[in-house]
Amino acid sequence: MTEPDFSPEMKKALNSYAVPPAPAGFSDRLLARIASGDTGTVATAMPELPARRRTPSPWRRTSRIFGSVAIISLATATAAAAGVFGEPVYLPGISEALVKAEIVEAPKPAVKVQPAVIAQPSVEPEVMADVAVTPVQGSAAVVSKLTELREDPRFAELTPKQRLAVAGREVRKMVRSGEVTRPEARAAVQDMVRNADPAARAAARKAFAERREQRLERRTGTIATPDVATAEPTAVTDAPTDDEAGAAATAETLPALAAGKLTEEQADALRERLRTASPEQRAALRNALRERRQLRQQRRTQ
Amino acid sequence: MMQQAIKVTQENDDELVARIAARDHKAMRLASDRHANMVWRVAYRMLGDATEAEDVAQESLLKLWNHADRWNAGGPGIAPWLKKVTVNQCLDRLRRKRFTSDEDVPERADETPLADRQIEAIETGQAVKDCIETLPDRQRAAVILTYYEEQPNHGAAETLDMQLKAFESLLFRARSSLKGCVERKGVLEQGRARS
Repeated sequence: MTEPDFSPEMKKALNSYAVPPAPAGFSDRLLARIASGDTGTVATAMPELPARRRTPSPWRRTSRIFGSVAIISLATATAAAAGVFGEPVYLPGISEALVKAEIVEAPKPAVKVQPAVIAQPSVEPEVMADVAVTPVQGSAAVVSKLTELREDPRFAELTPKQRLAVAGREVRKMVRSGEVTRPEARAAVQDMVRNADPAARAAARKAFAERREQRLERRTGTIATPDVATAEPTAVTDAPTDDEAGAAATAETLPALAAGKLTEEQADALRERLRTASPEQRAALRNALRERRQLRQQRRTQ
Repeated sequence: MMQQAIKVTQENDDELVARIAARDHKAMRLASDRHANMVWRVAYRMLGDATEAEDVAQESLLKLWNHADRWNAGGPGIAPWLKKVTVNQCLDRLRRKRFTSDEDVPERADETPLADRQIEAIETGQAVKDCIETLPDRQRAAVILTYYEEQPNHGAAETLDMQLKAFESLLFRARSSLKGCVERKGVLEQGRARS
């Protein structure tokens, strides 16, 4: 290391720091002390400092703590192993429980069967119980199910619409659960319709026709309001004629006229009557038709 | 010739210490007369106080009296030994002083009429003394031993129980600090010292 040498000015300044000579009689005082036996430390006004205690560094302190803990742990473990503390305490552990455990199959979850719901809730348990015990499969299952429904007295009390809804729901449920396929269900229903008695088939057709007619009326917007429905027959029956045939003819045409739609047969029949009717009857019919047409036009404009 | 003189001195020191160990008061007076000024100088420059310097000087020489029987013949001699003892005692005193009081000892004003030249020299000396006292203890000892006592670096390092490199580093810092302090005091003749 390069030492910065002092300049002459600096040396001159440092040399001006003169030290006075040693005090006179220094050696005499020293020898006097020696002669008197006072050769110990010169008493001063300054107090003695306590001995410097070295504080251990954090590393040394930490290592001491860890070392102590390790030694105590080792000694305790050795003593425990030697049986100084008596019999060892049994503590059940998870690993031991796992060793003793056996492998078994998990229980399958219980299948909950939803009871069939029909219009009246009180009927549900009986219907469901019958469905659950049916052993047959495929189309036969559908037939069996529908037959059971039909034989149920409560099912018979329902309206045709409700019966149809309940039967459809049951069949759909069977299809959804995989009990039958959709073609099987369709075939079963067709078989049942084919094998049904003629009276029931006719009733079903009639109901179907009625529903179809209502649908058509709703679609064309010409469904008769109560006022219109009563007004038309009145107008027709108030026609200025006393002829029985004219009255019958107008009476027969009323449903078709009220419905606003004539079937082919009705149209043919109406034409035939107009051709064969008397002039009065024909005039009455024409008047009724004209009024009907006017009413329809008025409704359309509204 | 020089080596012969040193050898004679060592022989004398060893003989002197042997006599001191034999509780020869004349030998002790001789040792005191030889080394009292050096011990006093070092103590005074280290402590900056005459009373304390005398106490330290007496203690150092009393140690020679007390420990003469354990003297190792053929060593560096009495002077280096006393210097080391004195410096250590001064450092110990400074440490105690720092713990007890930070107050400066008031200097007694010298009312003797002096010529301007003398006044200036005294002012400069006082400024240097103040600067030396502001140095840390070991830096102060390094400057005093090497500059004022003209001790070589390895000897001063031995006195302070330091490695030579560490001592040189300490001395470098001490000289730089001292130079800066004296320059700031503005007592240099040209106002600025050369490096």
